[in-house]
Amino acid sequence: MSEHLNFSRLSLLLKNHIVEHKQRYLYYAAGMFFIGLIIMMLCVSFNHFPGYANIGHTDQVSGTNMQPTERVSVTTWEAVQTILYLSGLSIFAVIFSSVSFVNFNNKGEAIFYLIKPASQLEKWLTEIIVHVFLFFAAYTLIFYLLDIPVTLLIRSTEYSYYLEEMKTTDAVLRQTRFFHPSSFFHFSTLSDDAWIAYPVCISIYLTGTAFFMYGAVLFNRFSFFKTLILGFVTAMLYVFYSLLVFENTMSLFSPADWRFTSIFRGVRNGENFSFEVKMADHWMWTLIFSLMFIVPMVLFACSYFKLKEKEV
Amino acid sequence: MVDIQNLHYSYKKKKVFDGLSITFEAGNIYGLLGKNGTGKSTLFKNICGLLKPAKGEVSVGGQLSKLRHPGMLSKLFMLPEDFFVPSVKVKEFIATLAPFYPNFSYSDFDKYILEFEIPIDSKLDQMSMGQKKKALIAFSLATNTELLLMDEPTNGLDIVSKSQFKKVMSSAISSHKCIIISTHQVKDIENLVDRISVIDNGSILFNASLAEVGRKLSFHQGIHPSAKEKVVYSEETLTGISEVLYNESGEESKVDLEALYKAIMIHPSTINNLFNS
Repeated sequence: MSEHLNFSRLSLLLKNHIVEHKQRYLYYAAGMFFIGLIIMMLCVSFNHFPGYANIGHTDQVSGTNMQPTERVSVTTWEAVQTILYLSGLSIFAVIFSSVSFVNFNNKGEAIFYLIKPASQLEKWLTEIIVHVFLFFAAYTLIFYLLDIPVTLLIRSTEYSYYLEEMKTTDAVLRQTRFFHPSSFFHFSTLSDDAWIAYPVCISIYLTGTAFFMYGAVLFNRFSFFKTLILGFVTAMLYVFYSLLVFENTMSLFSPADWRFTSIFRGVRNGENFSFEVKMADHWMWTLIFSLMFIVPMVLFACSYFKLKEKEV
Repeated sequence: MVDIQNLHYSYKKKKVFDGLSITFEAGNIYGLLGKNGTGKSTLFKNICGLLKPAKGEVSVGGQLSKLRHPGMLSKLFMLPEDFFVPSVKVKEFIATLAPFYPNFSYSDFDKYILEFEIPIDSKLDQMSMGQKKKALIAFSLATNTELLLMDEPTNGLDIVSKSQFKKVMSSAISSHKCIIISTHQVKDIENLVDRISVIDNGSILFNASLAEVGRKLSFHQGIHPSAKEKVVYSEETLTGISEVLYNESGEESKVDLEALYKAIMIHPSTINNLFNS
């Protein structure tokens, strides 16, 4: 066991990895911070978050009288926070995972990396720890470093607005979520239809990370672009197979009155006779489940076996 | 220390080794010589497990190289020709990498660093090419690994650094170490190596100790050529004639590595007949 996994050697390798790559990771963290800052500022500048405007008034759409503690379904800052958090997680994770196994970009660096006295499992685990777990922690930390002051800024502005313009009393506002922790930690505030964003974004985060990590160990140079092309080709093959081969083949063996549903289906949109392409529900859930659990595991395992066989 | 049996290795279209067998023993410094593209670096990579043989076995200290087990990797250090240094200070480099090598000697490292005049507070990647190389040579020697592979270690070193290299290397020799130096610059390893191995066309063309070479051959520099039947190889140089002769005196002669290498490359069968007889 100690030949393959030794925890003291793993911690040594992790320390060595972080020290050797700290400059690169600090630049990346600074990049995430500034991009996040710009996006948050743009969101604050271009969006009016009208959720609280309805407090104490009749909602124009539903006709109900909004109470201070009631949730509103229109876009709130919480929803924007969630969208920013999840989309940022997916995008930055994919970009960050492309610098995993960065040592393979250069022959000398690859030799230096591969002759370090640690097992391939420990080297692989180090990349997983850094690119999946530490990245997640660092991303979340950076997000809230930006999010908390921005949320406080928005809330303070709205608070003054309600007190002065809407003549709302402080007691009423206290009952709302103005300064409630849920204003900052926004994970339960999406509307019923939108909560699917969580599994979708997490599946993109995990599959994207695993796929680009595999690409990084598979290709020596320009791994990000090569992996991107490989991903595009794979996705096209999947769609082609599903639409043309799988559906037609299954229809041949199915009863005449039973139509096998393909991945995408046309939906008649009211009286317009227009069609929109929607993924069938069972296909969508199969895909999300696969992308959240099965595909990342398979791809992470592939990157391990490729690392074991890697030649320089 | 290193046991290579029936090694077959090819790049996509080019066959490099076709049944190469050789052993490298502890307590020796080997000079590995050969023309460009004969596979010296490929042999090093096979020894480290960076390349996997198509056929045959390579083992270091009894462990198969291709498995790249940490136990095997901690017994060796390789200084490649196109080496890499991370963007860290020398102190950080030592603090995080030395613990992987159980026999690493911090006092040896300080001694070598002092000899090479390396600034310990500088970042490795901001040093000159020669300083980077010397820092890595100091590290590689301080690891005290049983096997040390050096691919063109004197490339990029100035004249002073080359003599520092020889001095440091001489002080690092011990009976439990096996050092293999691959180089084109045979002058740089003269008086340093005690065995010579020459690779050509994917196999070992010559493998002998310098003591044996000195007993069987003698090396002569002069103006007048020696009798033809005594000469194995001769070459006109700017200062006269350089000759490799059959040693008939019975006394051990001082080996001229450059002349020996040329003699091996030009008259391999004559040399091998002499050493195999």
